[in-house]
Amino acid sequence: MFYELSMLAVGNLGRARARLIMTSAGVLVGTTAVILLVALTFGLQRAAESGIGNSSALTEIQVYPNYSFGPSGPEQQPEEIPQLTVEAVQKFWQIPGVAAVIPMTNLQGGEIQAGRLQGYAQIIGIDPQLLPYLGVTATQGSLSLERDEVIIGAHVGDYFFDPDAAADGGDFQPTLVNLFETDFRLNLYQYGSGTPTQRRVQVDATALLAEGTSYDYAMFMALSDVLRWNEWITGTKIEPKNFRYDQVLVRATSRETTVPVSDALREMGYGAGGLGDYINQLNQFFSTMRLMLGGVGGVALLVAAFGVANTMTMAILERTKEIGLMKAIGATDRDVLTVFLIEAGLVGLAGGAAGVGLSFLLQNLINQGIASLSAQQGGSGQGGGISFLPIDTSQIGGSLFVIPPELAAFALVLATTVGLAAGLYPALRAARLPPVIALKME
Amino acid sequence: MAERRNGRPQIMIACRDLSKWFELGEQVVHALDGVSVQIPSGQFVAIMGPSGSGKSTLLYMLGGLDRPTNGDILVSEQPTSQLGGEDLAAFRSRTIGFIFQAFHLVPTLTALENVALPGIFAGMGRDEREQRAFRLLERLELADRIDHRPSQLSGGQQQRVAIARALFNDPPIIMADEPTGALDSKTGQTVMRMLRSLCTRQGKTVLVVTHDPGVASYADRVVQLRDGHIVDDRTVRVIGQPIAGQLPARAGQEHEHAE
Repeated sequence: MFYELSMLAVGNLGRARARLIMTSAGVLVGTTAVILLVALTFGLQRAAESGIGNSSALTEIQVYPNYSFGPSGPEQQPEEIPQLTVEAVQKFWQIPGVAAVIPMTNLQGGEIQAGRLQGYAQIIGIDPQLLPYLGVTATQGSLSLERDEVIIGAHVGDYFFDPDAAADGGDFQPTLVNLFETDFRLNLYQYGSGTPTQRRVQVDATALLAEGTSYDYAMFMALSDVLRWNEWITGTKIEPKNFRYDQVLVRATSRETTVPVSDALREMGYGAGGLGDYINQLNQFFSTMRLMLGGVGGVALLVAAFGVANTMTMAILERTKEIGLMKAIGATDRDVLTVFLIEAGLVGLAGGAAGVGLSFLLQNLINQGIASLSAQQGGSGQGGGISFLPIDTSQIGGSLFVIPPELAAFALVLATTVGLAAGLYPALRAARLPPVIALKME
Repeated sequence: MAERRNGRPQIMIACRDLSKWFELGEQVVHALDGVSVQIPSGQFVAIMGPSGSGKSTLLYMLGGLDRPTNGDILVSEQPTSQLGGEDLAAFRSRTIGFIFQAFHLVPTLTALENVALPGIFAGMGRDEREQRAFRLLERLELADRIDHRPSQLSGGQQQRVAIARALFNDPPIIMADEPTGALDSKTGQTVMRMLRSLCTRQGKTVLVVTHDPGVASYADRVVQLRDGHIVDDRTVRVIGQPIAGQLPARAGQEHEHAE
């Protein structure tokens, strides 16, 4: 029966085609406005995210002792603040959603010597087994660490200089050293009483890291090596009970678990930071933006809704006698309501479908236009920026508008719902019309 | 076909003290004022009267399209004045076939679809609907017009489509409001002969509202209304016994007037 009533409604839509087209066009404009404005926020969000870095950065959480100071001094006594102890690291492993806990300790001092040239780097001790969780890749060599082996950050070799030439007042220009293919050693110094003792440690590079991580100017060494050298440098034995790691990196299993893991760490009294949090704020910002811009589009859709309501009211006024007739031959109020609601819903659906089509068309046109514009400007060496857009279009790969399938589906449902909602009042009025009044209406 | 069907109540339509008041500003208009009437099964009744006499109001109220202000109605043993919306719709669907002066065909539907329309609301399947509609149109000599839309049909053809639609659910009662009002006199006579035949051959109870004495001459009984009251109620012919000389001129012309 629903099918038959639907066919009646479809037949009715064919009566005033011009009016149907104009009413649907209103819904089309509204739907297109909603889709494109929301698609813009998706495009901008993607651009913002791609500017942040690789996806592995999004599951990283830096854990640190939470030295938070209130306006009137420390809120907690320093000794009460949880520290990055061996025990703490074990507890971090227990948090649900944690893929790995990577504790790190820095080598205390030391310089890099390659021939006559010297350079510096943060030298970080790490458990070699945890290297795969660090979120780094090697451009040369492979990620492994044995005793007296190091992994070199991408830019460690950029700033080397000759200390003798500098002392002579000569050229202080930094020299670029390819550490992966050069023999080098570490100079460590023990500052006891009197003159410092130097110790030369010959090391081999196993890998050169790809650039773009926070370890571009760092070197990795096996944790056991760093601990051993630190004991020599400080002249004190390291007691596991008193030991504190310099930093702990917690890797979450996925982007979604990053926030719960961060929250769990904060609950344990630690500071926790990372891009995941930042991304969350970014997402929140874009959600708000989506709501606002979607609302602007929604206003257009609201105007269209009044158009649908007006059209349905007119249609019902014109067909009042027909409503009376339908009732005279056995139609219930519900049948009449159904026919007119289907009509209104179809007006919305038709406008919505056309709006989705138009949106995809415009999306492609605009994105292609931007892509070709940024290609031209990119050719002139300006990094692909378009002057009138506040974003670097080279980063969005020419996709200023992104329409996910869910958005298109949502827009269709929304347009149909708007049609139904707009048609509800006129349809109810039609359904409740007493048949004799309807039949006698002039 | 000529025999009257069994199982129908002897009194098909009855009303008592039927009143309908309208409020027009401060004035209360009595469209109907205490009308009581009983119509036996199989009777052809013409309701006559000048404009505003309440004749259409009476018809619509007996047909379940309007509600009385006061009084009781019993149609085919159902107290329609007490029925709710859905029940009343079902009553109209099964018990009454309506025919209107302006035909009231749906312009977007073909003749066949118009005739089959009551089947949709009765929840009938498509095949059964179309077969039944086709048989009815065939009987009314419109088999070659089934795919025509109302705008492609003459007035007489449209009214025959409307009659076929009224007969679709095989109701015991046919109610017609000025069925010939929009037709020329010859076509009007064809339509009236059809209604007469439905009464005589199929035993349907027929109520026709008209102000045309020529139309009323097809009836067994003529009820005259004036200002909401019955002023005359005359049975001119006993059911099953045609009065001699009443329809002599029209005999044998049936096929000539069929369009």
